[in-house]
Amino acid sequence: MIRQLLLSLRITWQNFFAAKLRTSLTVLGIVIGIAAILIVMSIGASAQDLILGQIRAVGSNLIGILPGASEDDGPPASAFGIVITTLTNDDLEALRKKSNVPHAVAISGYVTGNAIVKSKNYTKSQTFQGVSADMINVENNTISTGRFFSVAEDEKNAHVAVLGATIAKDIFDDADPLGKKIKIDDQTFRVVGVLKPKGSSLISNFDEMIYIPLQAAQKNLLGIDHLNFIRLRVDSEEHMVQTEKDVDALLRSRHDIPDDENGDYSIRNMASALSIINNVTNIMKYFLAAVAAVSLIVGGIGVMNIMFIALSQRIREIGLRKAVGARKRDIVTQFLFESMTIACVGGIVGFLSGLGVVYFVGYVARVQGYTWTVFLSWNMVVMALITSAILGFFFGIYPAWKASKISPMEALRYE
Amino acid sequence: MAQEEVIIACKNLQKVYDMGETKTHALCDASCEIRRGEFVSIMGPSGSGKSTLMHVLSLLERPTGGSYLFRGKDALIFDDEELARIRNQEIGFVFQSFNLLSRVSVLENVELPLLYDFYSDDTASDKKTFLGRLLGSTGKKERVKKALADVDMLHRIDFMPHQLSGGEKQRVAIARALVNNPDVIFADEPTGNLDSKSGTQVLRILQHLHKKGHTIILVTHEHATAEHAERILRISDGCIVSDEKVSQRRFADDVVLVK
Repeated sequence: MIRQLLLSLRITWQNFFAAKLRTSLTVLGIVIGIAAILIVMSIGASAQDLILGQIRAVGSNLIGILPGASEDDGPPASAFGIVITTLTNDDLEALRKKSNVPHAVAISGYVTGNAIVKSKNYTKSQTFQGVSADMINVENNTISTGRFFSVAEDEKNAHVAVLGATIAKDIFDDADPLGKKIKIDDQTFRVVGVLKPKGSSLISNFDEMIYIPLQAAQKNLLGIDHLNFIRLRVDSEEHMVQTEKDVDALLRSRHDIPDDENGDYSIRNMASALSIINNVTNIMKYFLAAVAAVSLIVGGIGVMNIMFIALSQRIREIGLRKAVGARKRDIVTQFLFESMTIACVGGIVGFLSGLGVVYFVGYVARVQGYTWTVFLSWNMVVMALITSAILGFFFGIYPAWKASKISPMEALRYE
Repeated sequence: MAQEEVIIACKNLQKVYDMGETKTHALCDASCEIRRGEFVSIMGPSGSGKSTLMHVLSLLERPTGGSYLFRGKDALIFDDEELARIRNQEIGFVFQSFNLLSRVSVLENVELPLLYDFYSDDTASDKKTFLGRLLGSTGKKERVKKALADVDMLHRIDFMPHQLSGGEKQRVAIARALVNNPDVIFADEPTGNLDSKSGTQVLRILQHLHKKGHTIILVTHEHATAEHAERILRISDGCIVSDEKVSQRRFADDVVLVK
C-alpha cells in the first residue's frame, strides 16, 4: 500500500516537475492563502499585544471618572469634545478622603488645554495638562531629573512645570532645563523636573506633555473650575469593583442623584477598557483572516485544476493500473494522496513565506522602536498543514472520482 | 493427453454498439472454447471484430448477448472488485504500445501488478509486518526477477524504459504480464509496433512461455504472426469463420536473441 503510494507520488512529482511553472502557479493560491492567514493572525496578535501592553504599562488598576452620563459601554459625551462641567475640584477633594474611597492609593484631577509655549529659541502651540501632585503616582511615571511639583505648590497656585522627555529636548535641546523659565500664554513657569520617556499610548502622550499644577491651569490659564476627568489608582485589582462602587456612591450623594437614575458622570476602569479593545481587535483579526481564507478556496480550485491536468495526462497510466488489477478505491486513494501532498507542499511553502513576512514586519517594528513580540506557535504549523491537507482532500475528491472511472480499455488504445 | 481445464468458454457472444441511429454489430454469434495450456491466435483484418472479441474475453467489455464462462464461472456477473482481482491474478495483458510507465525503472514497471496484489500468500504475509508493508518483501523482488529472467531481461532490471529498444520494452511488458503468474496472457498485436527481428524475439518468448505451460491468446492481423500459435480463430465481420489447428507451425527459436 505504502509502496504503491510512493511509486505514484514519484510519478506525480516527476509530472509536476516537468511542468514546474504551471504547477507553481496553481499551487500559488494555497501558498498565498496560508501565508496570508498566518500573517494576519500573527501580526494581528502582535499588534494587539502592543496596544494592550501600552495600556497595561499605565496600569490596569486605574479608574477613570468622566463628567456626563453615558450608555453602559459607549464613550461618554465628554469624549466627543462637549464641555460638561459637572465634575469639580470639590468632587476631587471628597474622593481623596481615605474614609470615602479606602482603596484609592493615588488620585489626580486633570484639565487639558492648548497654549502658545515660548522659550528663548522656541515658540509653539502645545498641549498642557493641569494635574494634581499625585498624578505621577497615578500614572506610574518616573522623574528623570529634578522633581515633580508638590501638593503645597499645587495648593498655592505655584507657577512650576514638569516636562515630558521629548518636549524637554525640543525646547531646550541638550541644555539642562532645570530652573529655566518657559512662558505658557505669557505666564512664566519655572521648570522643576523632566519625566523619563514612557512612549506614547492610546491614553496620552506623556513624552510630549507639559504638566503644571491643577490650580494654576484652572485659574490662571483656562479660567475654569471644573475638571476634564479624574483618575485614581486602586491598591490592587481585587478592589476595583468595590472602589467603583465607593466612587459611585460618593458622587451620587454629592450630586443628589437618586439610585434609580444615571449619574451625571461616568466611571470607567482599565480592565473593561482592555476587554473592549481586546474584543474589537479580535474581531478585526478574525475578519481579516476570513478574508484571507477566501484565497485558500481559490488555491483549492487550483489544486483541483492541476489534478484534472494530471488526470488527462495519465489516462493511459490509470488504464494500465486498472488493467493490472487496481481497484477503484486504489485509484481514488492514489489521487487523493497526490492532491493532499501537493496542497501540503503549498501549505508548507506558504507557511515559510508567511513566517518570513512576520519576522520582517517584527524586525521593522522593533527598528521603529516598538516593543514588538512575534507570536508563533507550533499549532500554527499544524493548523497550516491540516488546513492544506483538508483542502487537498476536499478539492481532490472530484478528480479522484473521475480518475477511478477510467476504463482499463484506455491502456489498450493505440496512439 | 488428459483434458485440461477449460478457461474460456463462450457461446453466441454478441456485441452491439448502439450509436443512436445506427447499430454496429461488432460481434455476432461468436462461440469458442480455450483450455489451459493452449496457444491460440485470434486473427482477422482490422474491423473484423477481433479486438472486440479480445476485450470481451479479457473481461474489459461486457457482451450484449450470449454467455461466457471464465474458469467455469459466469463472467457476466462479476462485480468491479471481482474483475480487479481477476485482472490482477488470472489475466496478464501485453499491449501493442507496451504501456510501460516511462518515469520508473524496469523493476518498478514489472512490480506494478504486485502493488495491487492483495490476494496471494507471499504478498499477504508482507502485510503482517510494518517494514514488509513499507518496503515490499524480498519475495516480491524474487518474483520480479523470475519474470524478467523468463523474458531474458534480467540484465536490464535497473534500466529506465527510454534506455530500451522496442523489442526489449515489449519483453519487459511480457514480464509484467507474467509476474502474478496468471492463468491466461492476452497479447494484443504485441509485434505490431516492432521490426520483424524484435517481433520474432517476442514471439519466441511467447512460445517459450507456452512451452512452460502458460495459456496465451494472441490477437493479430498478420498471418505469419498468427501461425506461431497452435490454433487460429479466424474472425471476419464479427463472426468466427474458422477454428483450426496450425498445420505448419512457425517457430521463432532459430533466431538468436540479441542482448
